[in-house]
Amino acid sequence: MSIFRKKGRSGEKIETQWSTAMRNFRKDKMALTGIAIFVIILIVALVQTMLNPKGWSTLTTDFAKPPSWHHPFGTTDSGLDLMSGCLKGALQDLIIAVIVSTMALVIGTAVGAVAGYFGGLLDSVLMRVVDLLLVVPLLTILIVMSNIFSSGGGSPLAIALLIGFLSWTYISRLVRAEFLALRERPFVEASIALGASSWRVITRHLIPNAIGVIMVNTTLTVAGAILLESTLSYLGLGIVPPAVSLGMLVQDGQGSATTSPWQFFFPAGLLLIIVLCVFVIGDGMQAAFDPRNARRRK
Amino acid sequence: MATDSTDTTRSPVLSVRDLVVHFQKKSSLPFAKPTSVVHAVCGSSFDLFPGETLGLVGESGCGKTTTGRAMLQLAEPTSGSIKFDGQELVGLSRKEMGEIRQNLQIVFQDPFGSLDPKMTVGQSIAEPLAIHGRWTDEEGPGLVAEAMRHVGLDPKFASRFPNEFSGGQRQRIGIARALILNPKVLILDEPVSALDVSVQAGVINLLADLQEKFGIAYLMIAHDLSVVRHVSDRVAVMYLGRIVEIADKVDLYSAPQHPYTQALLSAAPLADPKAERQRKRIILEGDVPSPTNPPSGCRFRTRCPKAQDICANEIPDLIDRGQNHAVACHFPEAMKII
Repeated sequence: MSIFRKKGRSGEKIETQWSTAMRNFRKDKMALTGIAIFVIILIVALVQTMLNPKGWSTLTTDFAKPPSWHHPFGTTDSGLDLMSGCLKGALQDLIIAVIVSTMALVIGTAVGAVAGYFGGLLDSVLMRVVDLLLVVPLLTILIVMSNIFSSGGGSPLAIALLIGFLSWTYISRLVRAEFLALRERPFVEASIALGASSWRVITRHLIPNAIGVIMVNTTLTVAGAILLESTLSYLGLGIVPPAVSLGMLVQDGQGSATTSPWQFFFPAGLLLIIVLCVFVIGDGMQAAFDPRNARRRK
Repeated sequence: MATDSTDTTRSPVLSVRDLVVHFQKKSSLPFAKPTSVVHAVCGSSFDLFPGETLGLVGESGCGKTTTGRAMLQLAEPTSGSIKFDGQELVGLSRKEMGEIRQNLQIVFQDPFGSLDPKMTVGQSIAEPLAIHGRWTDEEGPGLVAEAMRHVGLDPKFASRFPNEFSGGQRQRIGIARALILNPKVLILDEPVSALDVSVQAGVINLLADLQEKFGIAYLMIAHDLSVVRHVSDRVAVMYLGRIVEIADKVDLYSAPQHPYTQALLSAAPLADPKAERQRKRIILEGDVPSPTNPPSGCRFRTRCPKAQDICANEIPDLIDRGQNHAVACHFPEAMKII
């Protein structure tokens, strides 16, 4: 309801859940460091890819050169600038992660909300679908599916949609559990007594009260998506050249890990740092949204 | 509250006949038959007249809250009839019921749980307007401010969140939310039982003022006999899903006829220590039987000092025994308790 602005009419400051969470979050040095590193990587990757869009596709005569001023991350066996590749790959991974986590957020919340709020047969059917997706190892499905997709070119978007389509189960279970607890709360009944529709109850009351759980787990899905894409690319089932991802670079570089270690360690290290950053941010959000933590942290 | 006692020539605003609400305990296995049925409300009938307060008392688990919830279809009636202004509510679709809800509102027991913690107080109070499409950006804030003033809250607090308010203030917010649509009937589900005694009086007086101002009829569900006595025009006593006695307040408190009412009244403490020491208390034996397996005939017979064979075989009807004093007992007998 956009009836009243968050700020009082008399101008007094209002403590919303968001502002409390953000205040807690700002005190969390680990999470702030995570965000800072993450943002720096993102900006560097963006700037580099924009200034030098052909960096990864321009062949040079420097074959497998160690890091130098000219090639800060060294070059690959085939004479490509590894820094361009790493940054482009990181950007590609992040785009995939955003698509995946958005899909997981939307599908997971919708399925969890419907299952948790309406219950009954609908809940049973939806949760069995979730169980099905959970028991069959995700990687197996992905490998089979990506084979089909790869024949179509293995485009980053196809990979993202594929992973996204399979990554919502975790969020849906959490949202369902949260809704099961919330729908028994008296304010939900009060709203129903007033004549609110199910849509209104879900969107105005239940989702705002479950937003902490949803946000935290969407963030964690980002990390999961990056790792999954890397795994797929590592297995050669993900992104296909000329597109590039960190997983693909790791796979390319692992053969030369002993002879020209930079080919392996730069992409792998970047991958590790990005995923770590996302986990730390997710952890920080978890603590920020949990009111019991708010007190302890003071 | 309204002083004139019920006039039978007036037509009731809310009329309940033979209301039955059963809850089925579902088996955890799918497709299995329900294992047991809780007989929460079993054939309750009563009328609520415009502008009056009907107190509904009874111990926990006797079905008084379920009765209130059934009025709003928060609990689905198994059978029976609920008429609001002559219109049958049982079996109405959600949409049709929506119209009724504007005139039939509820205030909940728990002032801490019944407000959405993520909504400002103003948003909570305005929600009924938004739900029924009556919110406009021009008039809405004024209506909210007016409702807040009616319940004794400063409208400038509209932008605060519920956690900044005390229990009594929150209950006032809940009342404002129920009032904003100008309902004809307000169901008060133990509106003060969660509050401190000092705060209770304030909320009860507020409810009385509002009734006087707007002529709302209250169905006041409570277990506190002294609160009910203070607030109600008429009182209905429930035991195990049935109304056992219903009468004008004065009649019921001065000359209760049902043995359960007598026992209930004798358990309420008196303010006068001398009278308290002298009076005879009626101690009931045993516990309330389980509503999943209620006794045959009169439901009170297992604990009634007057029980005879007929009580096990025949369900006593709620019969008017003069002056709108209806009793459901085979052996009614007026007795002075207080």
